[in-house]
Amino acid sequence: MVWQTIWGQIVDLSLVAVLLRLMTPILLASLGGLISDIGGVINIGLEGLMLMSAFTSIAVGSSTGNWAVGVLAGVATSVLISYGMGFFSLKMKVDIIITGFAVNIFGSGFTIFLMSKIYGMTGNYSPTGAPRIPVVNIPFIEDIPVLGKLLSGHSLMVWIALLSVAFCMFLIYRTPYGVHLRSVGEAPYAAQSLGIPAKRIQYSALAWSGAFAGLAGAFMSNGLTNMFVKDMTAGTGFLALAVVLLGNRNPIGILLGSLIFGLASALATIVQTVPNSPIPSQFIQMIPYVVTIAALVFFALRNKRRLATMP
Amino acid sequence: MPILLEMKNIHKVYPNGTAANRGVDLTVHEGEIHALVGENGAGKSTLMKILFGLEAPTDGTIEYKGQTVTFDGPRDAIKQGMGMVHQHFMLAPSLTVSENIVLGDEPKKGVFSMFRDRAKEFKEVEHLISTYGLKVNMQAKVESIPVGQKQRVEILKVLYRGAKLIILDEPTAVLTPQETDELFDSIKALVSQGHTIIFITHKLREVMQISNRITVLRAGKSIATLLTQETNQEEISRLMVGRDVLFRVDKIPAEPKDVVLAVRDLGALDDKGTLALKGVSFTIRGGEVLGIAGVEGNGQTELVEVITGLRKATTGEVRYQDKDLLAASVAEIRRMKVGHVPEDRQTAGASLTSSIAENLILDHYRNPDFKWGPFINKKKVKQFAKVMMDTFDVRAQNEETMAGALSGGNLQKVVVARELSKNPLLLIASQPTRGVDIGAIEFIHREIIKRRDGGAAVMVVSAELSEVMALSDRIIVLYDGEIVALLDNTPDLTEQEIGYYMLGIKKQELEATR
Ligand SMILES: Nc1ncnc2c1ncn2[C@@H]1O[C@H](COP(=O)(O)OP(=O)(O)OP(=O)(O)O)[C@@H](O)[C@H]1O
Ligand SMILES: [Mg+2]
Repeated sequence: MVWQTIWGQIVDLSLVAVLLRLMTPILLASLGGLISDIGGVINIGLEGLMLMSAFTSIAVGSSTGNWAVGVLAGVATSVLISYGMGFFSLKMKVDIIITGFAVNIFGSGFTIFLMSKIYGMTGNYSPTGAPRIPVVNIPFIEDIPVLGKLLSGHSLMVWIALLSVAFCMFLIYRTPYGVHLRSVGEAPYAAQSLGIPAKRIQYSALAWSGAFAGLAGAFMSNGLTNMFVKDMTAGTGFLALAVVLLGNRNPIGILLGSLIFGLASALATIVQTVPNSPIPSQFIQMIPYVVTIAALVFFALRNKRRLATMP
Repeated sequence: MPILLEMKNIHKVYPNGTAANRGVDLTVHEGEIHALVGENGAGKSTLMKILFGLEAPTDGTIEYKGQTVTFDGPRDAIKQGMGMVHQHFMLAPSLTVSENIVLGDEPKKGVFSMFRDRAKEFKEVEHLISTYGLKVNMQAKVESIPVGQKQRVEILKVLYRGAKLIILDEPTAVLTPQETDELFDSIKALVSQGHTIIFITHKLREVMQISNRITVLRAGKSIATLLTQETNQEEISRLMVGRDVLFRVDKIPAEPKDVVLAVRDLGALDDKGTLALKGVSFTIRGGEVLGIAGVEGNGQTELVEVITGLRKATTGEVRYQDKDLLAASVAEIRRMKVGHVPEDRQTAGASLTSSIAENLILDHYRNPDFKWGPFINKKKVKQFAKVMMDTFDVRAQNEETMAGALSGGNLQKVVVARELSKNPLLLIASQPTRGVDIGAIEFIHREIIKRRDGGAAVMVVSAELSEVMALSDRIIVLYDGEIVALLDNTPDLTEQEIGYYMLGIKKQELEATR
């Protein structure tokens, strides 16, 4: 029964659609994590940033009736907070890991606080008629049998996420900024001795991570669902950090890592919808996390083997 | 020759109170190679950092090309045509050679110059490389090239920015003799193309070989400027240290006792996974010094790492007294009275963000003498650190100074002090005097011999053949991962003889090396 359902969805390609949708938040968040990591200021606070953005974006989106304004507001909030992280860590010299944790705690607590203060809700807030991030239907192609299902009908944010991979490739490897970013993260003194403004670059790296985390969060409340649920990110921000390592710290690797995660989530979602499934749903919900842990262990072992001859 | 640079009455007091420069005058002529010498901590690097705008002088003036200049940062100095190659490499390891060379000044293209113009980057770097004959693979990642080439990348970096006056801070400290010769060829080529060089080194032989004039610093003051032709090593060292320096170690003949370390058939891979040690066998007895000679990269690093537990062996065995070292962890080995002075003090020898005192007890903190119940007895540690700094002449503000703020040579002394203070039964010293001034070399050599006379087995690995010959009772030569010679260090053994083995021109029968 379960296998038949999965097989059926693979054949009619709806698995692909689910996979892409579920992959998007983690892909965007990982790209944010990547840029901050490359710049030597790894952003542990992705989770908190996503929550803040998710809340802001649906709140602003539903009150203005415009999804784009909502998303922009969410991203702006996230960027602003990550700039604040820069202030504390780069200027006041608080350890970046601690700042990140603070943002996570703040993000979770503050969104719940605002939800109850503004809307009087404690668990979730689902405004009626809140505008969603639109779905892109490509004319003509949507009518072609296989291609149509593969390419058409995805959320705009799915495309933005995929384009972001290419964008990051360019940014990191093809622009002077990217080279500066890498040098600052790896050899800050060397960079400084050549007149590269290391602090400013690290600020910008944090801002980028905020922007991507913001997009990821906005998609969760305004695309994937149409509401805000407390702690709705459920660890996505942390999984994103794992994906950064898994993807060997480059955008293409991260895309592959996110695909693995997306696939695991998609399978879990499908299995959950099967009526009378013999497997308890809690187990199924574990799948993505188990997959991530397994992948990380694999990654660690591979690295260990490579390092075996080194001190 | 016209005067290019005049630094007058330079003073520098660091925020922590160290007076590193206390009235230095330095005059550099256009087109000369000017050597700057002085003991560890004499203020050479500080003076150059001031010149390059990395540190602001507390007092004094700098005149460059006849004009008084003040630099707010290295950018200003670079604009004026100065370039500096730092004592410790300033390269981003995962970037390529050409990316490192143009870093911060990349050729750009596109709208708003948004993109890197890689074609132009390659062309310009290519042009630089061929103009100055500094051969290096520009597409390779910096982490994968040897030290000598990294040095060239540093010089190319400086040339790319159009430097006329080039400061080289101890460029030869990490180079093999061969690489040093190549560097000197490049330096001469630079001078013939109109560049001026300021050159810092502790090796007086190099000073005599390449410089035109010499300025000697002592304790933060410039005490003499000499013409190289009119002076000699003895005079320079007397000016540097303030007394006569012995260039040879006085030592009584060794009295070898029982075998302490027995290495048999040892094999190991290098980082790239190729065989770096191909069945090496030797023994060291208590009370003798075994020197390991060889051109760098012929298995010395791997040999030391295997014995000290940092690298896995693929074949063979290492017995220390009656214990099997290959089965022991690094921590266990260190607890067995094995001392190890690693070749890279910056990454393996010291914790740069810890204080001198902390670095000195890194290995002793379990020792009950330094403890107070489960806690560390700060007072005892402090006392101990004071004594060590005194005996080893570590020049720093006090024992709380961060190791990272020490001059290169003083940091080395801290590492050596720690390793010798545990009274090792087996001492493995890799490049024990790299970057250390001549007075301190004399001292460290004497200390090593003292340990030998106390019955310790000592293994010395050094890129300096003279050092190996000065210390060793027996010498083995490593070539391509094999022992090609085992020699008794008798007075009639010459550097030339060893050189033949090092280059693989001569080779002893296998049996003779056992
Ligand atoms: N950033 C710093 N902060 C505080 N003190 C410093 C700093 N850098 C150097 N010093 C101190 O200033 C003195 C001079 O150091 P400097 O590095 O100029 O010596 P040096 O002549 O280059 O020695 P070496 O030959 O060992 O490299 C030393 O006592 C050193 O401990
Ligand atoms: Mg120095």
